Parts: sequence; structure tokens; C-alpha cells
Amino acid sequence: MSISSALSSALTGLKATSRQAEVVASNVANASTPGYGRRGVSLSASVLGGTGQGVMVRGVTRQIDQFLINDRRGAQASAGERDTRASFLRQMEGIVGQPSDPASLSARVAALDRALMEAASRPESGARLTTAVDAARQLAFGLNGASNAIQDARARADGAIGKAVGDLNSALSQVQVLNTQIRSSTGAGQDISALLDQRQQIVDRISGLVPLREVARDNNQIALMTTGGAVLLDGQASQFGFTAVNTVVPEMTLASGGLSGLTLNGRPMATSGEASLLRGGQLAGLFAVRDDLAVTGQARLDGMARDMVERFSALGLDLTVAPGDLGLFTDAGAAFDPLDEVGLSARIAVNAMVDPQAGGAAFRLRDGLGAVSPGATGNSALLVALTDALSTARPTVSSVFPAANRSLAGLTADLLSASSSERLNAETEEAFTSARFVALDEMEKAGGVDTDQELQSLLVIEKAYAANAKVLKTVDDMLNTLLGL
Amino acid sequence: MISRVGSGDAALNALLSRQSGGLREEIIRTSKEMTTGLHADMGKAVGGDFSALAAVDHSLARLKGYGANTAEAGLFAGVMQTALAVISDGTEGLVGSILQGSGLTGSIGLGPAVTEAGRVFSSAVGALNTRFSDRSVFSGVNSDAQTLPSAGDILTALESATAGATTAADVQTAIDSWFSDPLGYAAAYGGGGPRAPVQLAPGETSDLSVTAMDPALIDTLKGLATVALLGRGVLAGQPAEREALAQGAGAALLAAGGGLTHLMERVGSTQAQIAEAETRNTAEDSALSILRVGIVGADPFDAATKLQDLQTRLEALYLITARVSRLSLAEYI
Repeated sequence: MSISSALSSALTGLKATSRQAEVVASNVANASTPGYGRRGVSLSASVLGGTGQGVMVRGVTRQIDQFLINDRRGAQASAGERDTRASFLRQMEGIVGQPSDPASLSARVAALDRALMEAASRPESGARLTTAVDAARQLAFGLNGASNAIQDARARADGAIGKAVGDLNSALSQVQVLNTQIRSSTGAGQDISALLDQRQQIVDRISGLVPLREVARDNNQIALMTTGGAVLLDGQASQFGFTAVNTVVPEMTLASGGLSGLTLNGRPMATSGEASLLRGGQLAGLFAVRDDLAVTGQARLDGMARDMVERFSALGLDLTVAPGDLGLFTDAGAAFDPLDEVGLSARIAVNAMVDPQAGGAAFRLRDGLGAVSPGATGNSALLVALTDALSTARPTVSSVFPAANRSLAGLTADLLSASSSERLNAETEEAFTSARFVALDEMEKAGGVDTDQELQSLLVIEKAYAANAKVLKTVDDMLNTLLGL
Repeated sequence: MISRVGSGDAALNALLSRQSGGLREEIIRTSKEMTTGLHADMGKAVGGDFSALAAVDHSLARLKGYGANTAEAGLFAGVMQTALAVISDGTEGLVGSILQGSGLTGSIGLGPAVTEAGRVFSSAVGALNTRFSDRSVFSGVNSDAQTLPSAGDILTALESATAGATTAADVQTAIDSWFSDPLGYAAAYGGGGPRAPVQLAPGETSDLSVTAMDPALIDTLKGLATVALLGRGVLAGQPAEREALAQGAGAALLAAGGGLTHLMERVGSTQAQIAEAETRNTAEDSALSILRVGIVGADPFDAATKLQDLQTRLEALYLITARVSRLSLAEYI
């Protein structure tokens, strides 16, 4: 029976080589598919009755390096977080503005200083008084605009959290569905590689949002948890809860209840700090922007606004103003309450008494905010005092700034320096995490499909196929020879 | 698992696209630095500490303000000095005429001096009423008001004040009291208190506080008015008294001349101070501008070298991308 067994051996060879060719074709076709694990055919000698009976296809293996993938996912999460933080801080630095930018807070302070000084040189000139009032208004507008930009960034972060939470929930339920499919396919002995690819792709999509750990379970199942220890999926997918808001104002914080926190299966979870189970990921970065970085930025602007209000309403500066009355800058037209510092930069305005656009008159900048009618036109005493008030070094009250005596220009420069150095630190960390991510990503990709290698094995397969066919033909000839006897 | 020697196609693609992206980004940054001459990332250039740059920029803005102030104060002081010179020159001429005319009998001797006094008084009042760019120079803070009424009005007021006086001493007393009376000269003065000093440079102010209420100016006006009053028929028919009055006024004018010179010196030194401040501010402006370029300026040679290097590297990358993508087994089988 050895001739017919030779025939069947050759047949198994043909079958195995065509299976190999099929896998090569699939590999080449998916050379640039993200998340595709290169397939290989594992073969072994078929043994029948103690003797070799051709080749046996043991199965198709999906060649991935799970440790590398886990490392890459971890790096992706930290890169996501650092990137979110750095891009906000870049924006924050732009909001404050560099001194050479005419729209920056520093340039607006300098413009007010210069306008007051020129008005003091010629107090008779209505144009110069109006210019000085304009400069004061521009400075107040600058702070209003900066505060609005920060709150817009917070609102965007809030919206992005809402979207990320939605993505997480849908991805987790998709992984749950795929897990079920994979279990039944595994049971039925089918090729599950495509399902595994799909599942890996979905997990990769959310691995930037939260730092994930993938744990293998029986029957090719996976469980997902954050590196902090929160279980996202183990048989059953967890459900995150979050409610985004439409507008954000400075007074709305996580602590005040104005902004939504995060829940996992209905239980609230910490979104910042060492205890947070989500630490290190884009989601944590977005929470940091919304609840920490932007709040600090806002507090700095409020501190500057407070300094401006207090600086220009100091006792004895303007003798026509009674103690407790409004100074040059007001809290939206009312007196400033030290307990109500949050959001002052969004509300600060020039006293309507001096603002021609608000029904006031610019001469009050010269004659006093409480002046009923224009006084001596050459009197520059108050204008000189206002210029001095702007440059005087006075203690900064707000605790967000380190205690020191500062002029208004100095305080603005410190505000910018604080934002700028935070941005530089964040960018250094961003560069580090993204370099780590890129390195791991490249290593993972290097383990992907190499078309040269696939073509090379295709040549081998072709040769093997031809050889098997030759064997088949020769055996056939031999059989024919026997039959022809 | 089969041991592998291959390297995935995606790895090479990712590497090439990342490198070309990085190079392009750097080229954009470097060309920006080359064309603007400034660091593309200012925060990085100053190490996150903007205090020096902000201080320099703020000082430059202030210096522009000081520039406007010194130019204006200089013109203002110049106009003030010219007006004082008109008064001083007129007074000196009149004192000479009085000395020449005294001792000669009759009204012929004092006649020219009296006529001259009327003219000089009128030009002195006119000088004190000088307005410069719609500001009364000697009115202090009330700069939109006219400093003094016309010379004629003042003389008329003095005439009524001296009515009935029959001796030179009486006339002099009446004139003196009009000039020192709060309802006299001080009431005729339309201006206000002295102007506040003008800022010329950091911590430096100029004094332009001279008003028509300055004692030296009042004394001069008093002397001029006294002689001018003779032309209005005061002490008519009393040549001796008239001469005594004129001589007293001449002596008073001589004495007041010292005060007037002192006033001109004061304004002159302010002018010098303004000019000095202007020079110093200009020097500080250029020094700060140089300092600023030192902080914000990118070295153009450095940028040009870097750009050249980047160009070579990008060209090499293009070459490699083209070669490598042709290097596929598919091309040979």
C-alpha cells in the first residue's frame, strides 16, 4: 500500500502548500492594516499507524507580542495625557500673550501706562484723556477675553470627556460582544484570527484614553482593567457615567457640583490625584485641564484683576472718591468683594463714570471720579498719581501668586512666566512620553507583515507545490505502469 | 512560534514619514527664525521667565511716552522763556529811558519814558497772556482761562484805585495795595495754582510752574504800570511828584530785574534739564532696544547654517524614500 500512501502524502503536501499560499495572500493584503497580526501556518508531520503519512496543517497562528502591545498601550496612554496637558498650556501661554504681541496683557498694561503718562503731560487734551480711558478699557477687555478663552477651553475639555466616555462605553460593549463570538468560534474550532484582529483594534482605540491592562482568560477571552486597578471588562462590560454641560463659567467646578464627575457602574470615582484609578491617560489629562490647569490659569487672571481693582481704588489716590466707592476698575459696575475673587477677570470693567461709551466722561480721569463738572484743565495731579499707582510695587494679595511686592507690569510678567514655564515643563514631558510611544510603536510595527519575506516564502511555497505535484504525477505514472501490465 | 528575521513594512513607512514630518516642522521653524530674526519659541528662548523681556518692553513703551512728554515740555518751556525775554527786554529799555529822562524839567523829560512804559506794559501783559497750543502758558492749572485782562483794563482799574491820591507816595501806596489786594491783581488773574511737574524720565520731573502770580512778575508789572499810569494823567500838574513816582518806579524795576533774571534762569535750567533728559531717554531707548534684540533675536547665521543642514538632510531622506520603496522583492520576481 506504499504507493497509494505516497499519493495521499503528496495530496496533503498540495493541501498544506495551498493553505500556506492563502495565508501569504492574506498577509500581503493586510500589510498596512493596523492591528493586523501576521499569520503563520504551523505544520507537523502527519503520523498514521506509527508511520509518516504526509504533512498536517496544525492551524493558523497569529503572531503577536502581547508584552510589547501592553507596553505600547501604556506609552500611548501617557502620551495622550501629556499631549492634552501640553496643548492646553500652550494655549494658555497664548491667551496671556507675549509682551511683543500688541494684544497681550503685558502690552495692554504698557499701553495704559503710556497713555496715562501722556495724558498727565497734557491734561487739557480731551483726546489724550479718552485715549487713556480707551487703554484702561482695552486692558479690562483683555482680561475678560482671556478669562472667556480659558472657560471655552474648559468647556471643550468637558465636551471631550463626554465623547471619550461615550467611546469607552461603546468600545467596552463591542469587546464584550467579540469575546462571546470568539468563545463560540474557539469551541467550534474555527479560525478566530480575524476576530482577534478586530478586538485588538477596538482595544487599541481606547488604550489612549485610559491606561489599560489586558489580562488573558480561558478560551481566548480577555479582561480589561486600568493600570490603577479599575475593572473595565471581565465577562461583563462596565459602564462609565458622565454628563457634559453646554457652557462653563469660572464659578462652576467639580467641587461646587457645577461640573459632572465620573461614575463607574453608578459609583463615583476620583478623576485626579494619586487615588484615581484612571491616572495617566487622555481622560485623566482632560479632567486635569478642566479641574486643575484651567482653574489655576483662571485664578491667576483673577489675581491680576483683583490687583488692578485694588491698586486703582487705594485710599487717598482720588480725593473725590469716598472710602468704599468705586475706583477706576469695577467688578461689573459694582464694588469688589474680596470673598468674590473667582471669575473677577471675566467681570472686571472700567468705571462707567469715566467711560464715554458707558455714558460717563473722560474728564473724570483728570478731575476725579466723583467730580460733577470739569475742573481746572491743566491739573495733572490725579493723572500723575494714577501713573504712579500703576508702577508702585504693592503686595500681591491673591495666594495663587508667590507673596512679593509687584508693579502691575511685574505681576503681568509673572503671570506670563508662570504659564510659560509650566508649558515648557509639560512639553519636555510630552516629548519624553511621545518618544517612548514612537519607539514602542515602531517595534510593534517591525513585527508586522514584511512583504519581502512573504514573497520569499511564496517562492518556497511555489517550489514545494511544484514538487508535490511532480510526486503526484510520478506516482500516477507508476500506478499506470502497474495497471498497464 | 516561528522565529522571524523580517521587519514589517509599516515600520519603515512610519519611520520615513515621521522623519520627513520632523524635518519639515524644523524647516518651518528655522525659516521663520531666519525671516523674522526672532526666536520662533520665545518662551523657550527666555527659559520660561519673561520678567526681563517684559520689563524691557514696558520700559520701551514708557520711553515713547517720555519722548512725547519731553518734546511738549521743551516747546512749552521755550514759549515761556520767549515771553519772559519780551518782558525783561522791555523793562530794561524802560529803566534806561527813565534814567535818561529824569532830571530834565517839565513833562518833556519824562514824556518818552511814559509813552514807552505804556507800550512795554501792554506787551508785558500780552506776553503773560501767551497761549501755546490752546494753553495759557502763565495760567497754571487753569490753562483754558485768559491769564490777565487787557493792559487797558488793568490801568483803568489802577486809575480808579489811585483816584484822589495827590502825592507820589500816596499813588505808590495805592498801586502797591492794589497789587497785593486779593480783590485787586489776584482777582484780575484768571489762572489757577501752579502746574504739576511733568515726568521727563524715570524718577525725573520738570518744573514748569511759573505763573503770572510769581512775585518777580508782579513786581515788574507793578513798576511798568506805575510809569504807564503817568500817561493817564495821574498827578497831572505836579511835575516833581510825577518825577518822584517815575524814579521810584525805575528803582523798583531795577530791583525786580534781578527777580526776573532769576526766573529766566529757572526756566532756562528746566530747558537744559529737558534737553538732557531727551538725550538720556534716546540713549536708554537704543540701549534697551539692543538688549531686547539680545533676548529675542535669533542668530541669523545659526539659522542659515541649520537651514542648509536641514535641506541636505531632507534631500537625502527623499532619495532614501525613493530608493527604499523600489527595493522590493516584487520588482525582481
